[in-house]
Amino acid sequence: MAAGIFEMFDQEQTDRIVSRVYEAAFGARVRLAKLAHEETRLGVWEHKVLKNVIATQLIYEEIRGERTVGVIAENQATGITEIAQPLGPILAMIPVTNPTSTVLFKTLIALKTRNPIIVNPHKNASASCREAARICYEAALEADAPEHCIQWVTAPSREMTHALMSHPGVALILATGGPSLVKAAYSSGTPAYGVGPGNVPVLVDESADLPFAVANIIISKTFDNGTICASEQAIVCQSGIASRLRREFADQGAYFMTPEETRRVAAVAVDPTTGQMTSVIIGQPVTAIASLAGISPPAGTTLLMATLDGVGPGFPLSGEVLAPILAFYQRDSFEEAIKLCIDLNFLQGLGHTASIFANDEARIRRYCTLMNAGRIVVNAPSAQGAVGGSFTRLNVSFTLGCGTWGKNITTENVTARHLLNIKRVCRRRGNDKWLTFPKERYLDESMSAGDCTREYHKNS
Amino acid sequence: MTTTFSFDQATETLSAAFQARMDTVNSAAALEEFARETGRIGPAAVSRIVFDLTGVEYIASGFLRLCLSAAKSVPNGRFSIVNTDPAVKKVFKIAGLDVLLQVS
Repeated sequence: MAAGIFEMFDQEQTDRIVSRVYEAAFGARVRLAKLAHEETRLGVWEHKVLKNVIATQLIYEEIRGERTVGVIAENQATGITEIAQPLGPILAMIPVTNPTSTVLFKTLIALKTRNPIIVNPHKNASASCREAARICYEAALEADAPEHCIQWVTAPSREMTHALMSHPGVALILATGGPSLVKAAYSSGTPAYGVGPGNVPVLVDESADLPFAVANIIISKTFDNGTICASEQAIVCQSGIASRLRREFADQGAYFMTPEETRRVAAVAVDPTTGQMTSVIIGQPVTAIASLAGISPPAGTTLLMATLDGVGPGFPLSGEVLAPILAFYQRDSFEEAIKLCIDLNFLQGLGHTASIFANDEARIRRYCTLMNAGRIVVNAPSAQGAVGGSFTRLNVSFTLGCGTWGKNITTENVTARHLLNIKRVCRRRGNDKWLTFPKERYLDESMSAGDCTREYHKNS
Repeated sequence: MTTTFSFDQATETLSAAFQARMDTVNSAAALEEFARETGRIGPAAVSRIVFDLTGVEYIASGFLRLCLSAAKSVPNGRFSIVNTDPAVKKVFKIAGLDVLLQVS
């Protein structure tokens, strides 16, 4: 019902609703961040405030001026007019790692495109997500939005998720979550924008400014205790700068673990059966990880570094770990370093994000050409850079497409324009060459492609 | 000749180095040269094969066939490819052959 009513709203009414919801959501950024942190026990509440700001202020700044209702583009030369229509009800899957920020982000882009939204949170973040959705809904109603334009699941369960995903009334699933959730979304028969796992390699080239690179990596990897899937997972450098880079990391608060400490941390961070990170480690601070693993890094350590030599099952920390744990590799040359990044990329994070710190443009280009990643962040923190809006000008998004490499349909940062059905009205604009070309020429089998092309383009 | 061979009798290792472009024509020629070389040495005398791809910038599917054929001619795990260009290594990864053929 809400979908039909919402479709009758004009741009002005729609923008008024989005503006009011933005104000309310932004106003609740601190309370929602604290709620999410108390409920999930993941991350850092102050960082969750910043995530809520990205999901409200930055996304609002980006979409506020966009036309999303009726005629959104008109080209007299081609005679093509684009008319935007909503998709219909959107099922928004919400991950435990970025709960309230993802609710706010998805709600704003759904409302901007006049789509009702059903918030289906991870069970461990349901109270904070419900509260975020409720705040948005009340604000939307104040701006005369249709009733039920924002709904939420009060008791999330696997059964409910499957029922909603395959419900014929759902037009699209925004599937942000783990691989099994994304696969379930794709298998449901309902169109879906999914994401893939990350395993972000960072090539630190000898041409990079090392103190700058380390500062940026630490800003990113420790942000909300590493819960953003675009955060760095492995540093790869050339041997010539390895000791300087290690020293720089140590000077900025990172601790290089011994082989025994690395083994202990790997044992608690990665499930040996599945090779996936364990839930107990996600979003935890160094102190909690150290306590779980029974190691004693120096006081004030912000990041645990694991020196590794290989990639794959024998090296558990070579995969994605959403916590302040970072693998460290060195290789003899730039080319060998790239090959290792390719190995890391193919191990787990195909299509997601890669990162490089360098001041040699040819090397940056070579790296970017070879990595299979939807976004390659250059000389910036990869978590914040990939999400967009702060360190890069990518679209602000908490749903990062990974392309067909990650079994997704897009490599883009999913945003409002992905939530529209765009009709193209095509007025008669004849192709004179085609209309005047003698069609009987095509019936002559002796005409080659070259003959046809010459004749087709001949001025006469 | 598209391929340069060397055989180390002490380790029973046959090494092969290739031209920059291992396209369909060069790969077919290399396959013949490889068969001739192993025939000359005697297949039983070769227990390890190493393909050195230093300087190889392009490989066609025929080159993958050559690699598989060579890998089959020695016991499991005794074939390897070294010194690949990153773009060439990626071809083996996309084909899902990088582990089987021990590409580094």
